[in-house]
Amino acid sequence: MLQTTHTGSGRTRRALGCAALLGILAAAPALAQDASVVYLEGEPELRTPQGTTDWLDFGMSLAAGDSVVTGSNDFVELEQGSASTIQVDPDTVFTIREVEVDGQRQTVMSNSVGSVRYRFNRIAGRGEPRIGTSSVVAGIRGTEVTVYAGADGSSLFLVDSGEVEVTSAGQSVSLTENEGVEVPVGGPPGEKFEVIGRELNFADWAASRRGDFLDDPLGSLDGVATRLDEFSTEAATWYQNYLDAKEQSDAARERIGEIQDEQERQTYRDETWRPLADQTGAAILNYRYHALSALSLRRYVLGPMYMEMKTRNILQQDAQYREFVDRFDEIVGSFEDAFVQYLEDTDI
Amino acid sequence: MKRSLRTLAAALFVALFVASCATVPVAQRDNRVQALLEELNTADIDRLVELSARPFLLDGEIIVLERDVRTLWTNLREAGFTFDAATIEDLGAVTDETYRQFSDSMEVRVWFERYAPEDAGLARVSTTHGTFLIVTGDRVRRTPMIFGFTGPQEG
Repeated sequence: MLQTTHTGSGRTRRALGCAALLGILAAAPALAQDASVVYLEGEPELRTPQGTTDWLDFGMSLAAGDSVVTGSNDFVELEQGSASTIQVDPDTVFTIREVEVDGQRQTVMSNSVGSVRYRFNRIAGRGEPRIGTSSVVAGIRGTEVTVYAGADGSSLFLVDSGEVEVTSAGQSVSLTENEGVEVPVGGPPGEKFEVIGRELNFADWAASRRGDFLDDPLGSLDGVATRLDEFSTEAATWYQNYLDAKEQSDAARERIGEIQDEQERQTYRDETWRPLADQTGAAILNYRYHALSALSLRRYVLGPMYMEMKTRNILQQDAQYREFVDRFDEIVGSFEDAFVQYLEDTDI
Repeated sequence: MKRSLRTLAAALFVALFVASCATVPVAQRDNRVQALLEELNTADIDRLVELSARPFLLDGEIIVLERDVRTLWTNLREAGFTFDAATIEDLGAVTDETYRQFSDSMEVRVWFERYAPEDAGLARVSTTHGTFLIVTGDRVRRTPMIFGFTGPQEG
């Protein structure tokens, strides 16, 4: 019906460059094993990085970039061979992404909203993934943990066994068996607490997060804005790394063509050009990771915040509501300026 | 002679009617969109969720989860909002430029390109609460679905 349009030649050029380098990424061996659907209820959806949406079905595999979206009556259980089991609860968006950390490709599994329960086995034998929400990521070690994401962007980690290190706003909290911590969006982790003896119900917790947002909508917006600023800085840094690495990689590729001696050419390709090409690929992976994390925060936290306020105030738009909308528009404007340049149509 | 002329005229009328039905999608037919508006004003929340496509577009925001669509209609009802005394002022197909009337952003442009269906219609509806733009498309039996809306529009 409608034609896809590009907003400018610069964007098109960048997209072509990305496509070429993503080829390098695709050729690299994946560190993480794909997660397969072993059980499901209802009609959960699978969204792919190519922008397609399909019903999830038994036996389907999820790879980096894929998302599972569950409705109110849906439930999904995934397994990564014997390495892990992941249970995705109703009204949840669960995403698998990859990021390069210290030269190693690392899997990041997160839920932007809703709740996910993970059980990782120590026998995985590979770099264990990181887990979290659209606003907080945690490192894990042989862990059974449940991660909740609230409507106000806050996160709750409850550990059954193993160790989890939750880091946010430059501060970390280490959790072990039967410990939990709540993390406000854009802020440091709160005090950790004992889970035993403290009845926790996600529905109640989610309702209290929604209540807190409605009590202080501007405060919640500020928290989201802080986290988006962090993503913006990270994305911009990695994008500059990409530009620098690409310039050097292109120069090295030209140099390869100038080398006459076959042996010397092969050595130069392996020792000089390939590391630069790998750096370029890693930089793309990382600026995209931060941009997509920001998009998740925008889509699943910021958007529903606007919906809540708009629909509650559609007939009576008082000063508090107008103040909310002004601040919201400001954040969305900053989002457009900071992230749209890193996003592709298929991300939406 | 007169009788055969009348028969011919009736046949032509029927043919034209059938032809028009075949060419104008349900989502762009005035009476069907009016029926949708009536349902939006009177149906229970479950039915409203059924009639709402996802991802749903509210102004410049894309609402993905069924839970959030349910919250949207529940909040509107609790606020006392309906498309009260709705009059369709204009109804036609969505165009390449429609997205700008919702939000001049990449996300909304892509939403229209990827998620608005082939038969998507755009209705300009005046109500006692102001004028709204409603994106219609597809259908549940004979009723078009609502894919999103924006409003009330200023001015």
